[in-house]
Amino acid sequence: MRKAGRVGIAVAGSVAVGLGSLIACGDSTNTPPSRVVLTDRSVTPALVKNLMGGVQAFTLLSSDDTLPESPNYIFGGSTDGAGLLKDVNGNGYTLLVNNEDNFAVSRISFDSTLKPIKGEYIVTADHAKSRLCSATLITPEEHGFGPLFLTAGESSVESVIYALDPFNGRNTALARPALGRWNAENAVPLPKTAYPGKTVIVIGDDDSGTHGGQVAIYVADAVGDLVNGRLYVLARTNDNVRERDMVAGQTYPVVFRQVANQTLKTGAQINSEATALKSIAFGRVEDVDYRRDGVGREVYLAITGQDNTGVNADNSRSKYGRVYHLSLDPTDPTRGTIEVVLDGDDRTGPAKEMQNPDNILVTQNFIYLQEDPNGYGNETHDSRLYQYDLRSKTLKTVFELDHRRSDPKYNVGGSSSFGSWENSGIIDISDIVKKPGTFMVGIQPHSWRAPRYKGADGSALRANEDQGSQLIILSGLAR
Amino acid sequence: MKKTWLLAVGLTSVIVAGLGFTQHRLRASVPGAPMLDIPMLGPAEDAEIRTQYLGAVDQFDRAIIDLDSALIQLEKGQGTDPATPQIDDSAQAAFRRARYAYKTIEVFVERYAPFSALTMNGPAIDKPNEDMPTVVIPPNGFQVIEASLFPTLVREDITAMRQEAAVLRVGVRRLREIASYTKFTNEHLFDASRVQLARIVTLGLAGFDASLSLDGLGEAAASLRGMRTMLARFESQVRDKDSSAWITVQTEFEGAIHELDTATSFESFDRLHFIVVHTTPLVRSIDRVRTILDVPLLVERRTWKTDASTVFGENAFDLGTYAPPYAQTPSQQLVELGCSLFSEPQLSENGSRSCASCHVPSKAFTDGLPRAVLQNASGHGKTSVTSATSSPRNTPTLIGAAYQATLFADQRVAYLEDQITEVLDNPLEMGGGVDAAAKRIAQIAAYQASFVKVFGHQHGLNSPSQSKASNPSQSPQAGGPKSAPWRHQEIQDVNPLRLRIALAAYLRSLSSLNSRFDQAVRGDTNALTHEERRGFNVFMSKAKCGTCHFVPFFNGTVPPDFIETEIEVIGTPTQPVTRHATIDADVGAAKFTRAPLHKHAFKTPTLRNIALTAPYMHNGAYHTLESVIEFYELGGGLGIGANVPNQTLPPDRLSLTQPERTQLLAFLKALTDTTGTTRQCRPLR
Repeated sequence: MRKAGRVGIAVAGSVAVGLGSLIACGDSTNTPPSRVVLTDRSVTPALVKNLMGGVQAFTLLSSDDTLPESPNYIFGGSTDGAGLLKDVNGNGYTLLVNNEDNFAVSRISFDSTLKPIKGEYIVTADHAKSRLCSATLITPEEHGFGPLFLTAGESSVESVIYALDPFNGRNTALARPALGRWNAENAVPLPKTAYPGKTVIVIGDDDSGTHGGQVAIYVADAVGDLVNGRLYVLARTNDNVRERDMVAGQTYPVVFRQVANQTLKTGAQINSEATALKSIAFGRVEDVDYRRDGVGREVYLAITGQDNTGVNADNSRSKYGRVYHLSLDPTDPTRGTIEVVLDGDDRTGPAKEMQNPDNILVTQNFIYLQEDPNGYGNETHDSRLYQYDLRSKTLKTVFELDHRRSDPKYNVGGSSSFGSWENSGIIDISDIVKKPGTFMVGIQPHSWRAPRYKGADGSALRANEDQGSQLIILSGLAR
Repeated sequence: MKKTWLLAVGLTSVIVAGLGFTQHRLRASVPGAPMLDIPMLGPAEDAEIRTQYLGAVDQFDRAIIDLDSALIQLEKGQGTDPATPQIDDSAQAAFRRARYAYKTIEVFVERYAPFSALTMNGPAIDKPNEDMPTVVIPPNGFQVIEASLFPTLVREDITAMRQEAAVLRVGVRRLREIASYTKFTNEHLFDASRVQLARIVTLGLAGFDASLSLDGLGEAAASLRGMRTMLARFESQVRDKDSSAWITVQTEFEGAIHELDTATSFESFDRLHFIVVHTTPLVRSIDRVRTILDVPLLVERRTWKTDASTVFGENAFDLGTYAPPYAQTPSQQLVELGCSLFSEPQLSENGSRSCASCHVPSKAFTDGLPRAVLQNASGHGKTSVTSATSSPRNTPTLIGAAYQATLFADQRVAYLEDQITEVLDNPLEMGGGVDAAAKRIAQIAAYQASFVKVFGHQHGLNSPSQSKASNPSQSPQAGGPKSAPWRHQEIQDVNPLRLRIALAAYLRSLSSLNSRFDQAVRGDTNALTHEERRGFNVFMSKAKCGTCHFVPFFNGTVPPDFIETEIEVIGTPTQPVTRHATIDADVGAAKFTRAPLHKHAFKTPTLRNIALTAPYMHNGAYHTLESVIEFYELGGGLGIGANVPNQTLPPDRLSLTQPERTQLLAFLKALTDTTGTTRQCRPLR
């Protein structure tokens, strides 16, 4: 259940315009200085330790907080994919964030200083009925359409990807089956600069079974068309489906092959057809992002890895996780090359300590990578946030989660073993709050449980879900 | 019904002339369904099917509401009082009606919402979270309610049952939502019918999901009625072309439903007769309708092939779905090479044993011993290991090994190719590893020639640079990745990969579905005796064997999807005692899943050739089938006093009579079939 962290790619990157200002029309020429105040906002301490020098952590929200305008709202567990928007009216901010294990989406309102003032569930488990892990906020500034919160259901092959209007009422998400039926983790539209006039969405399949984690793209010939496009799956030109036959230091040509008439097919059928098309079988595709280089065709994949048993007994897929760079052709999104950037399975290499990367955020110069250890039992540290410098190719740690194991509150059932928590859903909010180097990060302390968090979204389906979770802000982090 | 739904959902359709497509705009006002804001272009049948389906979903929803009402009555304190026993009965009756309503639409649900099907009607068994093995995922749905209502009401569970009723209504909302954006096709409809009939035969008749209500026959009838209604829209089209075909299919439906409706009891129902006389002709007559309508066969690679009408055909299965991507379509030459390698002592480190040393072809590929004779690590002779610390296990038959999605008693690998690697690597089995074995084999000229003949010269499945990829990583950390199989040796003509491919191809050839049971189920009325036929009924009902050893493979591979092979915790003891038992120390699947729920869990083995493969269980503790039946009669490990809190086998007594045991035993012996599998090959020289 927790494997599914996901990030909102929010309105990050080089586009410097806040969404609200654009929609509000005309007040973007003279942007006033940020009124956002970075300070601890929660009664819960920031559950991180060993912070990188120059980086500060501030609490933002946790399941123990009571918000003034919604005293009955409890922030659910397993905070995950998120997107932050500047309000259309007023000076505040709105956050959409998945509570993964609640199968729900929260909408949090902040005042102009980024103080949380109100929370509500705009998708509940009784509507979603599947885990919502990853999410991507689509905005007109970055993508040429939106705003839409794209969130993927991850409950087997019957799941679909939903598009949600961030300002709409409760439970109004629209299914978008043209994007295929996958055990999808995230669906990430490339920015409007990547393929002008088209919609190109990269989809990651978190499947550890026979077919493996597959990478798909959806391509439509109009901007914002999530209905009439075509679906393709990623294959090597030599048809080799074995992930670990690719090694660091090599570049391999790839092609996306079409799964025709995808809307007439079940998820099982799409998976089976993808396998017949020699789709690369990765060890669970956890997340996707693109480099904020002003273009958006340099895609990065986070593969989380799966144990060396069952279908992966032959080690054909990653165990500890990998990061790939998928460079797409400038004119044809169905062609490109792929290379290994980080290889957790090389236990003497630069990523030798990596324990199952989950969410990935790529800025102009850095990859941010969040761990969600699989619990193999040989973990050596708690979940880390890594920073990989794309220029110097060096890997550093930004923080490790602080389990506070001596405090029984955070160690219910004594289940707080090494790496049993995850951090997830990192987004770069610098341009929205107008403070460079500001990021929002989710923490899923899976052994923080209590009866009062039960059924936070009021659903029948997840009435016994009882985890707490936390959002924090990091400042001083390089982009 | 149809009209009601049209009003509720506000569907307007415009036939786009000449295109054969219906364009419609759906404004769903069904509670919980999202607005579909887009014109849907789909097959012409799409809207019609959706309308009919959603009408049945509405009926299902009403049945759940009725069930909840009955539970509310119980909650108010009525029932179980000797004065008002009818209240219990009415809750049970409401439960039966609700699941009939579900069974009516199961053909759709399983096809388009398989995850929801599991949530609504999956087994009432806790499962571990794959990523957090200590976290338990509790079950949901009908079977949870069933366990609290049958055989008698568990009063303290009423609130929990109402909670599950609420979960079922969430399921209804999801079904409506999925229907709102799904484009239904006739190809899927006909294929789903075929699969649903197989589900009825393999699971329904075994009481798989009605193990306590014992209502499998009534539910099968409800399912058949649902399918007949689903196909009714084809009536005029079919009658125009071939009226006798339509009459035939209706007659088959009538006959099958009548047989179920008039059955005297779940236990006495003659299943073989029902399959041979009713369901097999029915599925064929439905397929004839498909042909008449020019509806193409569904294209999808599955274990049970989409062009096979029943699961009882000899060629109904594509075993390649259980093979890795690099496996080849087996040729006779490849199988012959594999057979030679199987009997080749040079595969073992000390040259003293071959695969056939333990998997003896004349003993149905077992060794007849409680536990395998192991070769010790240093390669000196043989040691019979009985110490529990080494967790030795009984040598399983290899006949039908290919009918499984996972292998080894603990399920640690999926593919025969990897199973071979593990056995060659294990110092207590063959020892030395697959690389060294391939090198030894390469020294023998006859194999060089044979490998080249079968595979051709090796030009590199990968480029040399890629083969570097698979160089075993240094693994300073415990549990680091083991060596990947694509290694530099792969550029030789005799290489480890080819060796594994050949051996696995041979193992897959040890597949046969020609026991007397198979002959009988295909229509040979003389193939089984009266006693054996009765035994099949005992197997499928009172003895509950068929809820784990699934027809048609009689192993843990679950029909009709054949995607998963199950493990169970039955509580096998160290000794075949009937009380004060001690659980066998082998933790089974838990060693690899790390899930406490999987402690002592073992894969459900095949019962085909069971008469030839004594002794029994993963540790060979039981020497006779009679003693195994007694073990189950007493309720497994829990029933004989072993400490097995996570046992998945119900601990209740089966209460089998002596004649029933005799019939069951007779039936098990009718599963013997070694056709074409026991020939002994010779090593190549």
